[in-house]
Amino acid sequence: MAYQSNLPQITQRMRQATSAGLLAAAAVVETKVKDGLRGGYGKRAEWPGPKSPTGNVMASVNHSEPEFGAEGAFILVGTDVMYALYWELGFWKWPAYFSEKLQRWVSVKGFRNQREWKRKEIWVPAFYGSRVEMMAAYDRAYKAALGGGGAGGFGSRAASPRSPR
Amino acid sequence: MSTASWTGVLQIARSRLLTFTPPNAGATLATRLGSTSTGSGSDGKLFLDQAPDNIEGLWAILRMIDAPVQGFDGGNLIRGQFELICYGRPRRMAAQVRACADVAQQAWKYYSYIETNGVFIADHVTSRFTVPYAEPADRELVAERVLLPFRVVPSYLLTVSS
Repeated sequence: MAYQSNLPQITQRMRQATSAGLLAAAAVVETKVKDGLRGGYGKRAEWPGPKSPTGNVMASVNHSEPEFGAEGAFILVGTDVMYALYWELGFWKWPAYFSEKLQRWVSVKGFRNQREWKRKEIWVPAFYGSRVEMMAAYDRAYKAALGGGGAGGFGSRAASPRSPR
Repeated sequence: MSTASWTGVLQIARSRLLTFTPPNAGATLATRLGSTSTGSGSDGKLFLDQAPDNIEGLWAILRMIDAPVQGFDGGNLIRGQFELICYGRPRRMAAQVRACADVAQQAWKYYSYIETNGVFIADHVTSRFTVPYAEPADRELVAERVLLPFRVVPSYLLTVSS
């Protein structure tokens, strides 16, 4: 019997399993972030905008496709709404009724106390707080993609090809 | 300054960042940021967790954002992450803000602190970027964020017996 290498197929299946695992882990973080964004960032978080949260940032939370690079595989979870970054890292917010011209005038005059420091962290705590859940979700999805568990799945057959199934 | 408490660990990191002298006789972070007359800013405007509301010019804030216990040595190793954000206002201070972040990155590159029953090791910086503020944020504020990972085996854990 001629030797046949199954390495390409195995490599391909492991790549697919890694992708499935990353997507499952990303879903954990996305859910946690969306939960945190349910009430929005508060009044006038969008400029100019309505007084009540619109769900804009929550609806914008998304993830990339799994990518494979020199240092391993990764997936990105994020948003394209820029002010989510400001809220996450902190910023000085002018009152809602301040036009840009008035902001400049106040800055020049040195009336510093018109600004408020705002920060509401949601993304970073969601990531660090779901570390264990992410790994568990990755593990389940990875094994399922490789056919893990159950009849006929990976690990359910004996190691030797000559053993009865 | 010691690892006998978590406050001590924070002070180890803060002291390193403020007192490190860059190569070629550059200015320390304490010199660049300046100081206030009292409080934690009196030795350099690098504040822990929060800065005073009326701050202006150059300043920085150091925060612990993650500190899980990891490893297999009985729960003594903590692999944590600091967030350092260097601020400047108005916007014409952008170059000085970036220079402060440069000094912080240099200070963190090869640093370790060792004492009896305790060790603090700085790992290399993993992330750095400039925050691109636009409305509704105050655009005159310049912020450069640096993540500073580290490992610590604090003596307040090692000295506890069962």
